[in-house]
Amino acid sequence: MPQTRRLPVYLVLDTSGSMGGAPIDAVREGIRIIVNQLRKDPQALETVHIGVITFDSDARQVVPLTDLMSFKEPQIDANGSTSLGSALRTLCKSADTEVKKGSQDQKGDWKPMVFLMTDGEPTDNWESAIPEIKKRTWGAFVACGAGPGAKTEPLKKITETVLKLHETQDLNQFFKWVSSSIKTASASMKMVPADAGAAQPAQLPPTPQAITVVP
Amino acid sequence: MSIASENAGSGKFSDDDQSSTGTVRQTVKAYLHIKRYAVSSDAKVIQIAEALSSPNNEARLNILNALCKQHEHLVVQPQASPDGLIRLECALQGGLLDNKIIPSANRASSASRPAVARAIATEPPVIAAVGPKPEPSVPLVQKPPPLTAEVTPSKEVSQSPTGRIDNPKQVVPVVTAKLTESDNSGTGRIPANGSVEHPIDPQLGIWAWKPLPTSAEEPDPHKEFDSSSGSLASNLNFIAARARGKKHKHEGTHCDDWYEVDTIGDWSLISVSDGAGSKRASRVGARSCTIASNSYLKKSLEKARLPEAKSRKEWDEALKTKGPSGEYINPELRVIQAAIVGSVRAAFDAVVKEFEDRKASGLWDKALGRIPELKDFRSTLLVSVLATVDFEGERRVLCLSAQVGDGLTVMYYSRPDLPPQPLAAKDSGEYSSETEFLVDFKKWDGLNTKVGAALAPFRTLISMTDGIDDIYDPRSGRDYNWIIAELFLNQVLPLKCAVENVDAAITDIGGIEVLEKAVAESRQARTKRLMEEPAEEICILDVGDYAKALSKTVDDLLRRPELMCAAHRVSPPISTDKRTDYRLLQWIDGKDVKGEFDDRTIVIVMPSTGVSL
Repeated sequence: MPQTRRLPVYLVLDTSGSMGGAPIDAVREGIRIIVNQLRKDPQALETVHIGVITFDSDARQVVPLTDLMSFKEPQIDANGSTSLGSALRTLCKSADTEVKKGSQDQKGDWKPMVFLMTDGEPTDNWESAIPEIKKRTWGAFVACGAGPGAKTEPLKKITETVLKLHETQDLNQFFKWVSSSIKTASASMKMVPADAGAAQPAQLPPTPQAITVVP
Repeated sequence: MSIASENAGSGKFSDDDQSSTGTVRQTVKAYLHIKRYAVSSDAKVIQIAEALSSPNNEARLNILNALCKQHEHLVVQPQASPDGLIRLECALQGGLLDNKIIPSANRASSASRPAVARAIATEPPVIAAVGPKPEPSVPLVQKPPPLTAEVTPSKEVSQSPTGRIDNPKQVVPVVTAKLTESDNSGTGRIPANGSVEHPIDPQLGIWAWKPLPTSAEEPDPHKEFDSSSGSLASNLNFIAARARGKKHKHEGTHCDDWYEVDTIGDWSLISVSDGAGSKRASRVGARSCTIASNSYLKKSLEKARLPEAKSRKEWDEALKTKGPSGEYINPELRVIQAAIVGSVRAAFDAVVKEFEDRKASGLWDKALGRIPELKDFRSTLLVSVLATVDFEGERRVLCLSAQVGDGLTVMYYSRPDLPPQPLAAKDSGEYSSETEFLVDFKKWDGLNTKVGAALAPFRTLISMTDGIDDIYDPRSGRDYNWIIAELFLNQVLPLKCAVENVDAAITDIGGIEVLEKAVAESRQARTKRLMEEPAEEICILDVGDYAKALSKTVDDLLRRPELMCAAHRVSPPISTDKRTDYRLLQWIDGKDVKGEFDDRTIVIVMPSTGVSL
């Protein structure tokens, strides 16, 4: 069967207890913003596939890699601790099974983009998952520490691209920025096939005022 | 290039720009983008933003009127808005989507925010009749947007770019949704009560690619499509076409491909190029490199002789190359090889010269908003030379080919046991998805090794840019043979079968009803080309779907062409126009493949008797 080369996008979202109330509403709203925004872009509509992983006391993939038209909003609730390590391992597993690598026989997908958001400090053995992340190459790996309680130092060990959102009430600025980042990537000629060895840092749009880039 | 990527590239217009002009600029940018008006330069956005930030109506009107003279997409509505300020509306051909940009709540409270931004945001959209006039039955004015998100799939207002009502299956919804507060640029606040304000709306995804005309104001205009056919040297013919890809159509940007076909003596010369989609001036590179390579080949092959080989053994010897240099041992072939290498060099020099001329004249400064760089002229290049030679008493086609960057030249053999053969390897840049471009090319010493040759029973040769190659790359689940089959199935290439054989084929597949069903299942939604009047609705059959519906493979169809001839009994040709190159153009322009956005160029060389099966 003819295949289309997909741009996989993983949203890895903190749903720990501290996200309860307005922040978790903002996460739900954020997913809607991303899907609605991308559905308005014909190029994104034909290429982008979104997968959602949530993590609290454990991590799980709540939405498998899904095209924008079939995307169904997941049920998301906030409770438990912040198992960042589980989230990273779940991400690796999902990418390994869902992202098609190019070969002699198939074109393969573009390298996946990852957007990770957490409002706290990891509570599990997260450092042991870092080599797993580094072993793989990503089209983009953005980690965002949201709110005053978020620690960006651990995130900096996971990826170069770390953002700090000062207030969780500004979360939807982050999600809007995520959707424009995906749009930029899907429109650019710089997407990298999943089988390519080297990963080129993705070109990301400037961040809004509420978000700073952690050097 | 999309606004998003321009934005990313330049780093301008970030949300950090909190000045009033900056805010308006953001709004204008987003507004124009949603209106799918291709903003060709940041400079233009600044102009519009400045106009809208201007304190009085007279100044505002002067700037806007000047802008409208330059760009027919822009229309100044003479009625003053409730705040007393002139507002600007973009009217686009068939522009049906009218999402409104609402300035953010926090900015709305800012005293410095110009009133006109609010005027844009809150007033009903006006679809003005610019360009092709919609038919009177189509309402021109949409109702003001409701306060909450709402999408109206609306048959009565869905229209094609020329104002015709389309097949309901292809209806484009009129989105009268305003973006709710949580979705506004720069709002940055979540709803206080956490309620669902912006459900994922299934209708939003029914988005059509909307072709826009090419911006007329850019330098180096480039016709958006082309096609030609004719005779080549030594009993060969060609048909060729190039068309703007859907991404460029949607953005109102140019087709970046080009091809040139020439002959000299016994030789037929084909050059094909694909300008980098992300580079605005790349079409200049594509055009100049193909013209230069063919022109160089004409000079250098004028007196070139063909090898004197005749027997299989002699040809085997002649086609051997010398170790790492990659040079042919045979002196005649070495001359031809040197000519191809020289043509690539000449093409490189020509692009550099075009770039330097434009840099000196400042021709592109305004469009780019800066002085051009060589990389703005990036393009690929595929060069092929063909001649007919004697091989054991039969006439065969000798082809030598080289390329820089992606795209492909493929030789098709008349023997069924020989699969289509690519003649040169695709180049890739530092990262596999990035192609190599002529102006960045550095491996001149190794170019000899990149010249591929083929000499075998000839059916046809196709040289194509990535826009076609990517669809039929065997790794996509299709195959290069599908191109030939699809051209026959859609009657781009003529196919004649004996009536009784077609009758037998129809009986074999289970009768006329099975055939009609297969055709219905393989028919792509009817598309209409914007780019030429009278716009003709075309009908394209997908050969993969057709074969599947008949429980056959595409190779089965090629082995038994009657199965394709059968489809012609129940499905019209792709176009009422009988010109082969025009039908080829219709096919490359209309063939819709998910995830494929590129410009498409194809040059097909065949015996003067046509492509045989």
